[in-house]
Amino acid sequence: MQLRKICIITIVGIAVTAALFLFVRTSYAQPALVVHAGAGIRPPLDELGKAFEKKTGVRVDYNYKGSGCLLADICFSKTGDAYIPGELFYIEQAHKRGFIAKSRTVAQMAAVVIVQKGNPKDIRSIKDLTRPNLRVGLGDAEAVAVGRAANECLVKAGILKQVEENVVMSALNVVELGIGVKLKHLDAAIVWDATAHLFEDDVERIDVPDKWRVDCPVPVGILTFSAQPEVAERYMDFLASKDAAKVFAKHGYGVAEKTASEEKKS
Amino acid sequence: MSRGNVNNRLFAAILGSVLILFLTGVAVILFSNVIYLAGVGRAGGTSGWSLLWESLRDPETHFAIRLSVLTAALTTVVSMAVGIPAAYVLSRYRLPGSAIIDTVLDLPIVLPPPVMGISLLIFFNTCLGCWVDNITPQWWVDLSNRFFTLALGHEIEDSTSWVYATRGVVVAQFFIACSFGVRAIKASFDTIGTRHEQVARTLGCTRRQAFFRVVLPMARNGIVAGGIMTWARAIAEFGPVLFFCGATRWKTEVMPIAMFLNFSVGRVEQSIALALIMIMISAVTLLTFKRLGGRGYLW
Repeated sequence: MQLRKICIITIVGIAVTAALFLFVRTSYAQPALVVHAGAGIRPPLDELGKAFEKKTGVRVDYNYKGSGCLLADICFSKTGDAYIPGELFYIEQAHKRGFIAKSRTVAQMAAVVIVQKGNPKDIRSIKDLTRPNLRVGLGDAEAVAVGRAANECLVKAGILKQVEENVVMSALNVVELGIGVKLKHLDAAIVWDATAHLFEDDVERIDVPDKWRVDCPVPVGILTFSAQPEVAERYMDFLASKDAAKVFAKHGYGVAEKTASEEKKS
Repeated sequence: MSRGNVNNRLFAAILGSVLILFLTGVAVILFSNVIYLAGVGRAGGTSGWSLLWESLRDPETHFAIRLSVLTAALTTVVSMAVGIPAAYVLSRYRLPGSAIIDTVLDLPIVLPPPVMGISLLIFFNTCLGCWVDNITPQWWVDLSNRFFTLALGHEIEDSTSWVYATRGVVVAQFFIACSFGVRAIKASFDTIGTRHEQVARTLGCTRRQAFFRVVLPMARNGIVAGGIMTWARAIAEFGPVLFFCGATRWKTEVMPIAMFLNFSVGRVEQSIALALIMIMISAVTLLTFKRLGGRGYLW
């Protein structure tokens, strides 16, 4: 008797859950847009996703991870409508594998140095990162866009070898570096200006001199396996619009130099 | 055959088939790594097997294996030093607030592992954590750097800070794996019961003598099983290491981290090679654990 009761309850439970799922599914007439996006770009994208939904009624679901991790994700799952890595390099990689139907640059970031609040180690410029006994964090140069940018910056400044001596941690996403400095486990890190903006209450920012400056465009790519490429394109154009540029600027991003004109075709 | 008998068999068959379905599911999913490798390169290019062989010979993979085995072994030693007394106390004494003690002990088992990683990271930001960093003597740090450098065949140069350090891996593993060890050892103390100890004490042993001469030898298998469980948990630890130690190549790159790093840059075959090694390690440790009569590794 007892067992039968349990069985009945279980079956009813499963039926109710299934019904609920059906209900939830049908309540969205338009399927959501699935966007694979670099974890570092989260703040403006969250805001822009909501704005896009308000404008068009299409919900945007983000899958946030490191740009390289996302590429592996896309390779395997072959799902999603758009890909927004932190760097052009990854769009090119995805393009080579035939995943990108169309792409466009929507914003721009630059590599900067961040140090702890109050600058206790008195770090004045990127050159100071070579000083002995500093604890420096960089992004993993193979997995993270900001890691590649930092390397490029340090190579330009001719101090890559010396700074590498001081690297105590390499991160798999740029936000981890901000947290490391915020929690005072790192003396300095090289991150995007947008990341520095995200942590502006807890860290201090030191710009890299123009001659060594490394800019990084933020590209959007529409995936070839998108089930709704027209909506995805509308989303891409929305991100490149003037309204979106304001949101990007609010979060510390630069406006892409060639935003409106430059459009890549596959 | 009577009707009841048929019913009984049907019942057993239904329950049994659920079990078999589940087991097949686990086996097929794990085995699909091998199937994937077999399929790679069939259309030309390097075959999956030579990629596997290559990644097994890759020095970075070797480093990851060595670091994993070494840190897990250190974690096991420390966990045993803490776990045996702790398990004995839990098994033999009635402690006040046992519900709270049990909860705290089991928390690392139930908690999502990254929570421990974040908590450790935050701990070393507090004044208590800074104090721990400050009292860590330089000679000890030098010694541990020398030790890791020799054992891993790669230069390790950590400062006195525990965060993002190679030796931090042991800390991250310890706070999760030790609970599993304590549970397993306690189970073996529980099965021995107090009788033998009491007899030993009536024959003139002190508590200490009874513990070392009677209980410990009798619980030997259980303790070894607990050690193996601790080691297996430690070598599997990912989240805490990722948060507390970072995923730094040639430094805190234990096997699960190496797998993740390879996967994040699209080197899927290398990840699979590491996954296969870890599957084998886990299977062997579990078999040994069961052979030794180990129990109680979950709740």
